[in-house]
Amino acid sequence: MSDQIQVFIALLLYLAFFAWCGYQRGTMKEFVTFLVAAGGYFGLLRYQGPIIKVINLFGKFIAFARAGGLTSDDPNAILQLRDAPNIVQPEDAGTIIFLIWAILLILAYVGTGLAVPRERSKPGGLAVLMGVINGIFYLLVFLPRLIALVLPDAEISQELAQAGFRKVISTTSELIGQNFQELWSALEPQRSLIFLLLITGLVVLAATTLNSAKARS
Amino acid sequence: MGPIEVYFITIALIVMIIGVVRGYRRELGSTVIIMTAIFLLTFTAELTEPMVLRLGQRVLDIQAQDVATRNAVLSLVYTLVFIAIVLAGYAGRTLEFPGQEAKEPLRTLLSMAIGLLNGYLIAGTLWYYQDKFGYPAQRWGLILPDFSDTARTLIGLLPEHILPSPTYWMVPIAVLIILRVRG
Repeated sequence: MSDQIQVFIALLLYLAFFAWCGYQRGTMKEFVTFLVAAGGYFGLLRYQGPIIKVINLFGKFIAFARAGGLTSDDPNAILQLRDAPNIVQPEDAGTIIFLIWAILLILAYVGTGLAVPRERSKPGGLAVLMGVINGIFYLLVFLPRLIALVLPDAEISQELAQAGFRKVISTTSELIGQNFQELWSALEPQRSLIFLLLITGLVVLAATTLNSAKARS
Repeated sequence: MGPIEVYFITIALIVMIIGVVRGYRRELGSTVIIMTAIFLLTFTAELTEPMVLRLGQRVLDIQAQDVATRNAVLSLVYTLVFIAIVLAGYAGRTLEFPGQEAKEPLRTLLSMAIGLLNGYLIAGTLWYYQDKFGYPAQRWGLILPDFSDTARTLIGLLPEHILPSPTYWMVPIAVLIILRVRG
Protein backbone atom coordinates (compact mmCIF):
# COMPACT_ATOMS: atom_id res chain seq x y z
CA MET A 1 0.00 0.00 0.00
CA SER A 2 1.33 3.42 -0.87
CA ASP A 3 1.62 6.28 1.64
CA GLN A 4 -1.18 8.05 -0.21
CA ILE A 5 -3.61 5.24 0.63
CA GLN A 6 -2.64 5.45 4.30
CA VAL A 7 -3.31 9.18 4.30
CA PHE A 8 -6.61 8.58 2.52
CA ILE A 9 -7.69 5.98 5.11
CA ALA A 10 -6.70 8.38 7.92
CA LEU A 11 -8.83 11.07 6.28
CA LEU A 12 -11.78 8.69 6.01
CA LEU A 13 -11.43 7.71 9.70
CA TYR A 14 -11.27 11.38 10.70
CA LEU A 15 -14.45 12.15 8.72
CA ALA A 16 -16.15 9.00 10.07
CA PHE A 17 -15.50 10.27 13.61
CA PHE A 18 -17.21 13.60 12.83
CA ALA A 19 -20.02 11.76 11.05
CA TRP A 20 -20.58 9.71 14.21
CA CYS A 21 -20.46 12.89 16.37
CA GLY A 22 -23.00 14.48 14.01
CA TYR A 23 -25.28 11.47 14.28
CA GLN A 24 -25.09 11.53 18.09
CA ARG A 25 -25.70 15.28 18.42
CA GLY A 26 -28.37 15.63 15.73
CA THR A 27 -28.93 18.02 12.84
CA MET A 28 -29.87 21.22 14.70
CA LYS A 29 -26.93 21.15 17.12
CA GLU A 30 -24.47 20.46 14.30
CA PHE A 31 -26.00 23.14 12.11
CA VAL A 32 -25.84 25.83 14.83
CA THR A 33 -22.26 24.81 15.64
CA PHE A 34 -21.34 25.07 11.95
CA LEU A 35 -22.90 28.55 11.74
CA VAL A 36 -20.92 29.71 14.79
CA ALA A 37 -17.69 28.04 13.63
CA ALA A 38 -17.78 29.27 10.02
CA GLY A 39 -19.42 32.66 10.75
CA GLY A 40 -17.07 33.26 13.69
CA TYR A 41 -13.97 32.29 11.74
CA PHE A 42 -14.64 34.46 8.71
CA GLY A 43 -16.15 37.29 10.79
CA LEU A 44 -13.12 37.41 13.10
CA LEU A 45 -10.75 37.37 10.13
CA ARG A 46 -12.72 40.13 8.40
CA TYR A 47 -12.89 42.38 11.48
CA GLN A 48 -9.52 41.41 12.94
CA GLY A 49 -8.23 45.02 12.98
CA PRO A 50 -11.18 46.61 14.88
CA ILE A 51 -11.34 43.67 17.33
CA ILE A 52 -7.65 44.02 18.23
CA LYS A 53 -8.15 47.79 18.64
CA VAL A 54 -11.02 47.19 21.06
CA ILE A 55 -8.91 44.69 23.07
CA ASN A 56 -6.02 47.18 23.24
CA LEU A 57 -8.39 49.99 24.28
CA PHE A 58 -9.72 47.72 27.00
CA GLY A 59 -6.12 47.08 28.15
CA LYS A 60 -5.46 50.82 28.33
CA PHE A 61 -8.67 51.31 30.27
CA ILE A 62 -7.55 48.68 32.81
CA ALA A 63 -4.18 50.48 33.16
CA PHE A 64 -6.06 53.76 33.64
CA ALA A 65 -8.30 52.21 36.33
CA ARG A 66 -5.37 50.58 38.14
CA ALA A 67 -3.57 53.95 38.22
CA GLY A 68 -6.58 55.32 40.12
CA GLY A 69 -8.23 57.07 37.18
CA LEU A 70 -11.71 56.00 38.30
CA THR A 71 -11.34 56.93 41.97
CA SER A 72 -9.10 60.04 42.06
CA ASP A 73 -8.07 63.08 40.02
CA ASP A 74 -4.49 61.83 39.65
CA PRO A 75 -3.12 63.23 36.35
CA ASN A 76 -0.74 60.24 36.15
CA ALA A 77 -3.76 58.05 35.48
CA ILE A 78 -4.47 60.04 32.30
CA LEU A 79 -0.84 59.56 31.30
CA GLN A 80 -1.25 55.81 31.85
CA LEU A 81 -4.12 55.89 29.40
CA ARG A 82 -1.78 57.35 26.80
CA ASP A 83 1.44 55.51 27.63
CA ALA A 84 0.24 52.01 28.55
CA PRO A 85 1.57 49.53 26.00
CA ASN A 86 -0.82 47.62 23.75
CA ILE A 87 -1.63 44.27 25.27
CA VAL A 88 -1.85 42.71 21.80
CA GLN A 89 1.15 43.40 19.58
CA PRO A 90 0.55 43.34 15.81
CA GLU A 91 2.56 40.09 15.45
CA ASP A 92 0.29 38.37 18.03
CA ALA A 93 -2.99 39.48 16.45
CA GLY A 94 -3.47 36.21 14.52
CA THR A 95 -2.92 34.10 17.65
CA ILE A 96 -5.41 36.13 19.71
CA ILE A 97 -8.05 35.97 16.96
CA PHE A 98 -7.57 32.20 16.70
CA LEU A 99 -7.85 31.87 20.48
CA ILE A 100 -11.13 33.84 20.47
CA TRP A 101 -12.45 31.59 17.69
CA ALA A 102 -11.44 28.43 19.61
CA ILE A 103 -13.30 29.69 22.71
CA LEU A 104 -16.35 30.50 20.54
CA LEU A 105 -16.23 26.98 19.11
CA ILE A 106 -16.09 25.33 22.53
CA LEU A 107 -18.96 27.54 23.71
CA ALA A 108 -20.94 26.56 20.60
CA TYR A 109 -20.49 22.85 21.33
CA VAL A 110 -21.27 23.19 25.04
CA GLY A 111 -24.08 25.72 24.45
CA THR A 112 -25.89 23.68 21.79
CA GLY A 113 -25.46 20.56 23.95
CA LEU A 114 -27.23 22.29 26.84
CA ALA A 115 -29.71 24.56 25.05
CA VAL A 116 -31.02 22.49 22.13
CA PRO A 117 -33.34 19.69 23.31
CA ARG A 118 -32.88 16.21 21.89
CA GLU A 119 -36.28 16.19 20.16
CA ARG A 120 -35.38 19.33 18.19
CA SER A 121 -32.06 17.89 17.01
CA LYS A 122 -32.81 14.54 15.48
CA PRO A 123 -30.16 12.07 14.37
CA GLY A 124 -30.20 10.85 10.76
CA GLY A 125 -28.60 11.25 7.37
CA LEU A 126 -28.64 15.04 7.48
CA ALA A 127 -27.02 15.05 10.94
CA VAL A 128 -24.26 12.78 9.61
CA LEU A 129 -23.78 15.14 6.65
CA MET A 130 -23.58 18.19 8.94
CA GLY A 131 -21.06 16.36 11.12
CA VAL A 132 -18.89 15.63 8.08
CA ILE A 133 -19.17 19.26 6.92
CA ASN A 134 -18.02 20.42 10.36
CA GLY A 135 -15.14 17.91 10.24
CA ILE A 136 -14.03 19.20 6.84
CA PHE A 137 -14.20 22.80 8.07
CA TYR A 138 -12.05 22.06 11.15
CA LEU A 139 -9.62 20.19 8.93
CA LEU A 140 -9.26 23.26 6.73
CA VAL A 141 -8.72 25.51 9.75
CA PHE A 142 -6.49 23.28 11.89
CA LEU A 143 -4.33 21.46 9.37
CA PRO A 144 -2.12 24.41 8.32
CA ARG A 145 -1.46 25.06 12.03
CA LEU A 146 -1.01 21.46 13.15
CA ILE A 147 1.49 20.76 10.38
CA ALA A 148 3.94 22.99 12.29
CA LEU A 149 4.05 20.28 15.00
CA VAL A 150 5.39 17.76 12.51
CA LEU A 151 7.47 20.16 10.44
CA PRO A 152 8.68 22.86 12.84
CA ASP A 153 10.44 24.70 10.01
CA ALA A 154 9.38 28.34 10.28
CA GLU A 155 9.33 28.85 6.51
CA ILE A 156 7.13 25.83 5.86
CA SER A 157 4.60 26.70 8.56
CA GLN A 158 4.53 30.32 7.40
CA GLU A 159 3.93 29.22 3.82
CA LEU A 160 1.16 26.87 4.89
CA ALA A 161 -0.50 29.44 7.10
CA GLN A 162 -0.53 31.88 4.18
CA ALA A 163 -1.83 29.29 1.74
CA GLY A 164 -4.47 28.25 4.30
CA PHE A 165 -7.74 27.03 2.89
CA ARG A 166 -6.66 26.96 -0.75
CA LYS A 167 -3.67 24.75 -0.03
CA VAL A 168 -5.61 22.24 2.06
CA ILE A 169 -8.51 22.06 -0.42
CA SER A 170 -6.22 21.52 -3.42
CA THR A 171 -4.13 18.91 -1.57
CA THR A 172 -7.24 17.07 -0.32
CA SER A 173 -8.88 17.03 -3.77
CA GLU A 174 -5.59 15.84 -5.34
CA LEU A 175 -5.34 13.12 -2.71
CA ILE A 176 -8.91 11.91 -3.28
CA GLY A 177 -8.46 12.04 -7.08
CA GLN A 178 -5.16 10.18 -6.93
CA ASN A 179 -6.53 7.47 -4.66
CA PHE A 180 -9.60 7.05 -6.82
CA GLN A 181 -7.36 6.59 -9.87
CA GLU A 182 -5.15 4.08 -8.01
CA LEU A 183 -8.19 2.15 -6.86
CA TRP A 184 -9.69 2.27 -10.35
CA SER A 185 -6.43 0.99 -11.88
CA ALA A 186 -6.24 -1.83 -9.33
CA LEU A 187 -9.79 -2.86 -10.24
CA GLU A 188 -9.14 -2.74 -14.00
CA PRO A 189 -9.84 -6.43 -14.79
CA GLN A 190 -13.18 -6.31 -12.96
CA ARG A 191 -14.21 -2.72 -13.70
CA SER A 192 -17.30 -3.59 -15.72
CA LEU A 193 -18.56 -6.04 -13.13
CA ILE A 194 -17.99 -3.66 -10.21
CA PHE A 195 -19.64 -0.76 -12.02
CA LEU A 196 -22.56 -2.99 -12.96
CA LEU A 197 -22.97 -4.12 -9.34
CA LEU A 198 -22.79 -0.52 -8.12
CA ILE A 199 -25.48 0.87 -10.44
CA THR A 200 -27.71 -2.18 -10.02
CA GLY A 201 -27.29 -1.96 -6.23
CA LEU A 202 -28.16 1.74 -6.26
CA VAL A 203 -31.37 1.35 -8.29
CA VAL A 204 -32.42 -1.72 -6.27
CA LEU A 205 -31.82 0.19 -3.02
CA ALA A 206 -33.97 3.08 -4.23
CA ALA A 207 -36.73 0.81 -5.57
CA THR A 208 -36.75 -1.24 -2.35
CA THR A 209 -37.34 1.82 -0.19
CA LEU A 210 -40.44 2.52 -2.33
CA ASN A 211 -41.75 -0.99 -1.71
CA SER A 212 -41.04 -0.94 2.02
CA ALA A 213 -42.67 2.48 2.34
CA LYS A 214 -45.75 1.10 0.59
CA ALA A 215 -45.82 -1.91 2.85
CA ARG A 216 -45.66 0.28 5.97
CA SER A 217 -48.61 2.47 4.92
CA MET B 1 -15.13 28.38 -25.18
CA GLY B 2 -14.75 26.41 -21.96
CA PRO B 3 -13.24 22.97 -21.29
CA ILE B 4 -15.32 20.06 -22.65
CA GLU B 5 -15.69 18.46 -19.20
CA VAL B 6 -17.43 21.60 -17.91
CA TYR B 7 -20.16 21.25 -20.58
CA PHE B 8 -20.89 17.63 -19.80
CA ILE B 9 -20.59 17.95 -16.01
CA THR B 10 -23.03 20.89 -16.22
CA ILE B 11 -25.50 18.72 -18.18
CA ALA B 12 -25.15 15.97 -15.54
CA LEU B 13 -25.72 18.43 -12.70
CA ILE B 14 -28.81 19.93 -14.40
CA VAL B 15 -30.27 16.42 -14.81
CA MET B 16 -29.47 15.74 -11.14
CA ILE B 17 -31.35 18.90 -10.06
CA ILE B 18 -34.32 17.82 -12.21
CA GLY B 19 -34.11 14.44 -10.44
CA VAL B 20 -34.25 16.05 -7.00
CA VAL B 21 -37.32 18.07 -8.05
CA ARG B 22 -39.15 15.09 -9.62
CA GLY B 23 -38.30 12.60 -6.88
CA TYR B 24 -36.66 9.20 -7.27
CA ARG B 25 -39.98 7.37 -7.83
CA ARG B 26 -40.22 9.05 -11.25
CA GLU B 27 -36.47 9.16 -11.83
CA LEU B 28 -36.22 5.36 -11.63
CA GLY B 29 -38.63 5.17 -14.59
CA SER B 30 -36.36 7.52 -16.53
CA THR B 31 -33.36 5.37 -15.56
CA VAL B 32 -35.03 2.36 -17.21
CA ILE B 33 -35.68 4.38 -20.39
CA ILE B 34 -32.13 5.82 -20.52
CA MET B 35 -30.54 2.41 -20.00
CA THR B 36 -32.85 0.89 -22.62
CA ALA B 37 -31.78 3.62 -25.05
CA ILE B 38 -28.10 2.88 -24.37
CA PHE B 39 -28.76 -0.84 -24.80
CA LEU B 40 -30.63 -0.39 -28.10
CA LEU B 41 -28.06 1.98 -29.59
CA THR B 42 -25.15 -0.27 -28.58
CA PHE B 43 -26.87 -3.50 -29.56
CA THR B 44 -27.96 -2.32 -33.00
CA ALA B 45 -24.80 -0.30 -33.80
CA GLU B 46 -23.36 -2.81 -36.26
CA LEU B 47 -26.66 -3.03 -38.07
CA THR B 48 -27.70 0.62 -38.10
CA GLU B 49 -24.39 2.29 -38.95
CA PRO B 50 -24.14 0.88 -42.54
CA MET B 51 -27.85 1.63 -42.98
CA VAL B 52 -27.46 5.26 -41.92
CA LEU B 53 -24.41 5.63 -44.14
CA ARG B 54 -26.22 4.18 -47.18
CA LEU B 55 -29.12 6.52 -46.52
CA GLY B 56 -26.68 9.43 -46.17
CA GLN B 57 -25.09 8.53 -49.51
CA ARG B 58 -28.43 8.44 -51.30
CA VAL B 59 -30.20 11.38 -49.67
CA LEU B 60 -27.34 13.76 -48.80
CA ASP B 61 -24.88 12.58 -51.46
CA ILE B 62 -22.12 11.93 -48.92
CA GLN B 63 -19.03 10.45 -50.57
CA ALA B 64 -17.65 7.20 -49.13
CA GLN B 65 -14.19 8.72 -48.72
CA ASP B 66 -15.48 11.80 -46.87
CA VAL B 67 -14.87 10.29 -43.42
CA ALA B 68 -15.36 13.54 -41.51
CA THR B 69 -18.87 14.10 -42.91
CA ARG B 70 -19.79 10.43 -42.42
CA ASN B 71 -18.71 10.63 -38.78
CA ALA B 72 -20.60 13.88 -38.28
CA VAL B 73 -23.80 12.32 -39.69
CA LEU B 74 -23.46 9.19 -37.58
CA SER B 75 -22.74 11.19 -34.41
CA LEU B 76 -25.70 13.47 -35.12
CA VAL B 77 -28.08 10.56 -35.77
CA TYR B 78 -27.05 8.70 -32.61
CA THR B 79 -27.27 11.86 -30.52
CA LEU B 80 -30.71 12.82 -31.88
CA VAL B 81 -32.12 9.30 -31.43
CA PHE B 82 -30.75 9.15 -27.88
CA ILE B 83 -32.14 12.59 -26.99
CA ALA B 84 -35.54 11.65 -28.47
CA ILE B 85 -35.74 8.47 -26.35
CA VAL B 86 -34.59 10.30 -23.20
CA LEU B 87 -37.15 13.07 -23.79
CA ALA B 88 -39.85 10.44 -24.14
CA GLY B 89 -38.80 9.15 -20.72
CA TYR B 90 -39.09 12.58 -19.13
CA ALA B 91 -42.00 14.31 -20.88
CA GLY B 92 -45.69 13.47 -20.95
CA ARG B 93 -46.84 10.13 -19.56
CA THR B 94 -43.78 8.54 -18.02
CA LEU B 95 -42.88 5.24 -16.45
CA GLU B 96 -43.29 5.56 -12.69
CA PHE B 97 -42.61 3.17 -9.87
CA PRO B 98 -45.46 2.41 -7.47
CA GLY B 99 -45.32 3.06 -3.73
CA GLN B 100 -44.45 5.98 -1.52
CA GLU B 101 -41.06 7.63 -1.40
CA ALA B 102 -39.03 7.40 1.81
CA LYS B 103 -39.15 10.25 4.32
CA GLU B 104 -36.68 13.13 4.38
CA PRO B 105 -33.71 13.33 4.26
CA LEU B 106 -33.49 9.86 2.64
CA ARG B 107 -35.85 10.99 -0.13
CA THR B 108 -33.58 13.88 -1.16
CA LEU B 109 -30.44 11.78 -0.88
CA LEU B 110 -31.89 8.98 -3.04
CA SER B 111 -33.32 11.49 -5.55
CA MET B 112 -29.88 13.11 -5.78
CA ALA B 113 -28.18 9.74 -6.25
CA ILE B 114 -30.61 8.51 -8.94
CA GLY B 115 -30.66 11.97 -10.58
CA LEU B 116 -26.86 11.95 -10.64
CA LEU B 117 -26.85 8.45 -12.15
CA ASN B 118 -29.27 9.63 -14.87
CA GLY B 119 -27.18 12.76 -15.41
CA TYR B 120 -24.03 10.67 -15.76
CA LEU B 121 -25.73 8.29 -18.22
CA ILE B 122 -27.15 11.13 -20.34
CA ALA B 123 -24.09 13.41 -20.36
CA GLY B 124 -21.75 10.41 -20.64
CA THR B 125 -23.60 8.99 -23.65
CA LEU B 126 -23.69 12.35 -25.43
CA TRP B 127 -19.94 12.69 -24.83
CA TYR B 128 -19.37 9.08 -25.95
CA TYR B 129 -20.97 9.72 -29.35
CA GLN B 130 -18.68 12.70 -29.78
CA ASP B 131 -15.64 10.69 -28.73
CA LYS B 132 -16.51 7.66 -30.86
CA PHE B 133 -16.76 9.70 -34.06
CA GLY B 134 -13.74 11.96 -33.48
CA TYR B 135 -15.55 15.00 -32.04
CA PRO B 136 -17.42 16.20 -35.16
CA ALA B 137 -18.76 19.15 -33.14
CA GLN B 138 -15.29 20.68 -33.63
CA ARG B 139 -16.38 21.52 -37.19
CA TRP B 140 -18.90 23.99 -35.85
CA GLY B 141 -16.55 25.35 -33.18
CA LEU B 142 -18.58 23.83 -30.34
CA ILE B 143 -15.67 21.82 -28.88
CA LEU B 144 -11.98 22.65 -28.65
CA PRO B 145 -9.73 19.71 -29.61
CA ASP B 146 -7.07 20.27 -26.88
CA PHE B 147 -8.39 18.40 -23.85
CA SER B 148 -7.16 18.74 -20.28
CA ASP B 149 -5.88 15.79 -18.22
CA THR B 150 -9.21 15.73 -16.38
CA ALA B 151 -11.11 15.41 -19.68
CA ARG B 152 -8.85 12.56 -20.82
CA THR B 153 -9.41 10.76 -17.51
CA LEU B 154 -13.18 11.27 -17.74
CA ILE B 155 -13.30 9.82 -21.28
CA GLY B 156 -12.19 6.48 -19.81
CA LEU B 157 -15.09 6.70 -17.35
CA LEU B 158 -17.90 7.18 -19.92
CA PRO B 159 -20.75 4.65 -19.45
CA GLU B 160 -20.20 2.89 -22.79
CA HIS B 161 -16.47 2.63 -22.12
CA ILE B 162 -16.99 1.01 -18.71
CA LEU B 163 -19.78 -1.28 -19.94
CA PRO B 164 -18.93 -1.81 -23.61
CA SER B 165 -21.14 -4.87 -24.10
CA PRO B 166 -24.89 -4.21 -24.53
CA THR B 167 -25.62 -7.37 -22.52
CA TYR B 168 -24.41 -5.66 -19.33
CA TRP B 169 -27.10 -2.98 -19.63
CA MET B 170 -29.82 -5.61 -19.59
CA VAL B 171 -29.01 -6.54 -15.97
CA PRO B 172 -30.16 -3.32 -14.23
CA ILE B 173 -33.01 -2.94 -16.77
CA ALA B 174 -34.29 -6.46 -16.04
CA VAL B 175 -33.96 -6.00 -12.27
CA LEU B 176 -35.85 -2.69 -12.41
CA ILE B 177 -38.61 -4.12 -14.59
CA ILE B 178 -39.04 -7.06 -12.18
CA LEU B 179 -39.26 -4.64 -9.24
CA ARG B 180 -41.72 -2.45 -11.19
CA VAL B 181 -43.98 -5.39 -12.06
CA ARG B 182 -43.79 -6.82 -8.55
CA GLY B 183 -44.93 -3.42 -7.29
